[in-house]
Amino acid sequence: MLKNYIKIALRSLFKQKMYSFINISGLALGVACCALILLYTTNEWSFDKFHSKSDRIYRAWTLEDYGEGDIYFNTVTPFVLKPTLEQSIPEVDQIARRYVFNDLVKRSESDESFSTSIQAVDPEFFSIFDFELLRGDSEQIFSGLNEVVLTPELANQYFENEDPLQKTLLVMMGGEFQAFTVTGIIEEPPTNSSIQYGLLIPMEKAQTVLNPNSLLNWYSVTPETYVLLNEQADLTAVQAKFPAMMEQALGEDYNEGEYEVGLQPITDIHLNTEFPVGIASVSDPTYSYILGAIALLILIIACVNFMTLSISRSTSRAKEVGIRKTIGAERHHLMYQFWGEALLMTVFSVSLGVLISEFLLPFFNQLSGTQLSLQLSLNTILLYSGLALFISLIAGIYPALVLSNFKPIEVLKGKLQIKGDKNIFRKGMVVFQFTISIFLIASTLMVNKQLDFLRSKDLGFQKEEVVILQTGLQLGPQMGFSQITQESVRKKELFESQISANSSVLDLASSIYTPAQQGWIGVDFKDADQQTRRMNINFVDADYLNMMGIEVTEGRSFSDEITSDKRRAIIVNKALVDDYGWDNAIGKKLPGSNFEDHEIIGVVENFNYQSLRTSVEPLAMSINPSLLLSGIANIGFFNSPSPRISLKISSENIPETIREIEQTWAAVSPGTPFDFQFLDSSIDSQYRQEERLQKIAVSGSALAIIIACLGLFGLASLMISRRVKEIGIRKVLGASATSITLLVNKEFTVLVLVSILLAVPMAWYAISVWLDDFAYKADMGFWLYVLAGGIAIFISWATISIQSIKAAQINPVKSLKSE
Amino acid sequence: MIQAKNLKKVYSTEEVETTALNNVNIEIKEGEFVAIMGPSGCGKSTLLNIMGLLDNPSDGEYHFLGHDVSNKTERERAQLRKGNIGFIFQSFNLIDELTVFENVELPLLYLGMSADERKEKAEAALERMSMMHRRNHFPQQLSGGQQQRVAIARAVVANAKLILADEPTGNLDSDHGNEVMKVLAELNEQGTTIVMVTHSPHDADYAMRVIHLFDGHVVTENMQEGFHV
Repeated sequence: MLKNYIKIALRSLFKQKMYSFINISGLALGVACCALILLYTTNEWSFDKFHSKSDRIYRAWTLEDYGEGDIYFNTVTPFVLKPTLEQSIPEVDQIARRYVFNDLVKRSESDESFSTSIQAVDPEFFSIFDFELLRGDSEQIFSGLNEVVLTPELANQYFENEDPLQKTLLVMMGGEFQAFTVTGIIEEPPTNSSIQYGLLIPMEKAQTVLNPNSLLNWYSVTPETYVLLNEQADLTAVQAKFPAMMEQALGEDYNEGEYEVGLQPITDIHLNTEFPVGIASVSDPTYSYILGAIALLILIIACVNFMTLSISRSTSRAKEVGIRKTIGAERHHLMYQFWGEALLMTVFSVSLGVLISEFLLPFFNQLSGTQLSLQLSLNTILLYSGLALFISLIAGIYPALVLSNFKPIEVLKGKLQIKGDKNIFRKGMVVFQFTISIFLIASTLMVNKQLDFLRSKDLGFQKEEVVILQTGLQLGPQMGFSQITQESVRKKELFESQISANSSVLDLASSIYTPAQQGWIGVDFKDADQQTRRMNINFVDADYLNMMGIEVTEGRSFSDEITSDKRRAIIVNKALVDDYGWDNAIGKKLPGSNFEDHEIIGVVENFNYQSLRTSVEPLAMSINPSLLLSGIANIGFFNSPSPRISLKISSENIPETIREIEQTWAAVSPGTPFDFQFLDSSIDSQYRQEERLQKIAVSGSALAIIIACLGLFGLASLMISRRVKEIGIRKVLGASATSITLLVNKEFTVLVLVSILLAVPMAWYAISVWLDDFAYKADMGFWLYVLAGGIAIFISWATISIQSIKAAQINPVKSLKSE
Repeated sequence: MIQAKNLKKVYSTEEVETTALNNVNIEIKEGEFVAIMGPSGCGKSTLLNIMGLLDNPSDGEYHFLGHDVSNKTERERAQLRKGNIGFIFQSFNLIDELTVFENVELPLLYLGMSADERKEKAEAALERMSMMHRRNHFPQQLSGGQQQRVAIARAVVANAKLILADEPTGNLDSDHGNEVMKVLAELNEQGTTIVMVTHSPHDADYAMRVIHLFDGHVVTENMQEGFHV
């Protein structure tokens, strides 16, 4: 019997090639897309779970709360937290701190240096985490101070084909190159690890170049602290001991509730956006949800397609059902048969879908910025089998019920009418599919619009044809803010003197920060009423505002001619003026009491130095760093302060200009790597996640509409085949081909219109939720929905017309005879 | 074998009620060959469907092989139908996706027979209809007459006691039609009861008895000359 079913299934599959193709390809596409997105989301959810002790590893956080919103919440911690925890908390098994800095690394004095991200870690790093030490002795690792551990990729970069072990590597620390010996090779960090690394050095060594005060200070936070609790430990009980620990540690500085310490499970880091970002990167789970939702919607569309087509196809199987029933088939025989056919088709589609997803994976990785790979483990095979079973149940059960219920005489006499069917079910499904498609199209259009808006919004400064050059200068024991800014200005002037008169470099200026860095220096100070004030600061040279085209609306810009500007001039933005409620800011002083002698000489327009997700925050700029640093109580950096030179270049022959800049830079600052970015591209890169969303949404909605149209195409042809007689009669009575085409199209157009009505409010809601993330929003125009609906109507018309025009041209003699 | 008493069948749509059969009384004995004739729409096919247990009468009694089947469920009718009744249609109604052999084998599948048994019986039936050489062909590859012979093979494969034929020669030319009629006559001679709906007086000549229907009533019942029950 089974053999007979399979035979019939395969033969009818091949007999109705078009429907089989539509059915299988639609579902396969849906499955492929779903498989990819599933891969992405499971990867997102699998972060840091690969550590065998992941249930016992926590990242420490600190929360300082001095009232009135004066809160410092950090997932980077004081250095001193590790010894304190080790002494006071018996449940602590091991602790590893890590912090990251960028500096130069080279093989030998004569060699080229690479700017490298360097991780300083405690030796416990190698035992707490599951990162495998491929070579070297894990017991002995970092027993010496000048040891370094590399990943295979970095080892290969420095030593190529030589054996890296015991080789020397020079690392810039505290302003000079120091020799390190390679004592270990560690596996590349898995892509689903929050902790990424390349070059590791002992924390103890890194601390030698840091300010000794900062190592004991509870108010300066630098490393992430990872704590491994013992197996018996209870997190709540452990955390309950922290206040007493802090009381002891801070002594008389301790006030209850002011300084809290806590632990965050390591597996929680990647997707928890409520914690401040530490060194480990964090991903917004919203995007996983959005992607998951898109995948689910596409899969649903594909399943619905499968279902409607199977039912519609059933008319052509009606005769078979009639015959089978006449010669003895009972209802359950037929149900098994049709469900079995659905199962066969889904198994086929799902397998094909998995193949397609394998094929599409590289594109998807590019799209999503990931490096995922499909691994066929027992779990995934079970998952896909489950998926096939599930889809076949959903998609096959209805046809099985409907078909097996046919009355044999009726079908054999050609009087088939599916019971109670005014096509409501199928029409409902078409509406459902198009609602989802229109929803996706409208959302995609809006994501596009918002991105265009973000890219094209006037940010209040010149962003095109500006090159940002890293000076490589860093804060250090001998290098304070004043030193690095002065050094940067000196390099800039040297650079200026080296370029020729007809150079493509039109203008240049130096600053500590440039736009599109996540944030500038955030500072707090107490005003006369002891109220905490917040602002961002930046140190620029006299040319910066002018060069960047930032408009000064009141007062004047910095000037080289006025010597006091270098010492005591401050320029603020309009947001700061508004924040303090000043009418005229010129000549005023910042309300803090400890600032050195200064004067506000100008007010600039609120230019968007941060991402457009946030509105412009109060900002003060000076040439003299100590001016603004003197009066502040707290300081926070998003990126380590490092001066940059901004160069305005001519729009012609940019590669040649870059070469010129590189050559000049080599002369100005020999040994410093040439590290540059275009300002506009780094601004765009702030919206990379949105860009990914856009790309995926575009592909997703395209796929959804393709699948929906495949279904519509099949459905239209089946519906038309049932109306052949009606069309024939109409033609005999004088209807034109056009009027018949319109007649058929009208029926479907009504369905699409209903879908538009349903989809618009859904899309409107979803879009406004998404836009809430942005301080600056493109306006959600009405046209957007009109366009989305228009696209849907156009595509559906194109799809149906292929069929209806053909039907309208059939000779009525033929169609009536066939009845 | 078949007793119908006061059979009535009414088809109703929302607005119209059509009486297809009205007080039909028929008795058919085992081994008979009965032809049912009448103009289009007189209820011939409806009667055949009720006799074949494909449909229930609206009123009246219907006994098949001693069972009262007028009010049985579809499932019960299907059980009784299996193996006892074979159908032959004007349009052959073979399953296009199955080969000749597979079509003939199908009723046996639903009877739950083993593969060997099915093979033996299906081959015997095909042999009987001289269609063995076409056993691996698909229906579309055969002539109309050949298709009808396959349909007959399918009808008799399970040793049905009753064969119901609905205009079996309607789609065939006269040569093929005669061929089919001869086969039916042969089957009847071997003991199978045959009830045949037909428009053709020529075909009706093969029957022992002709029942004329008109507007749902039995008008006349004639014994054909030369036949005796």
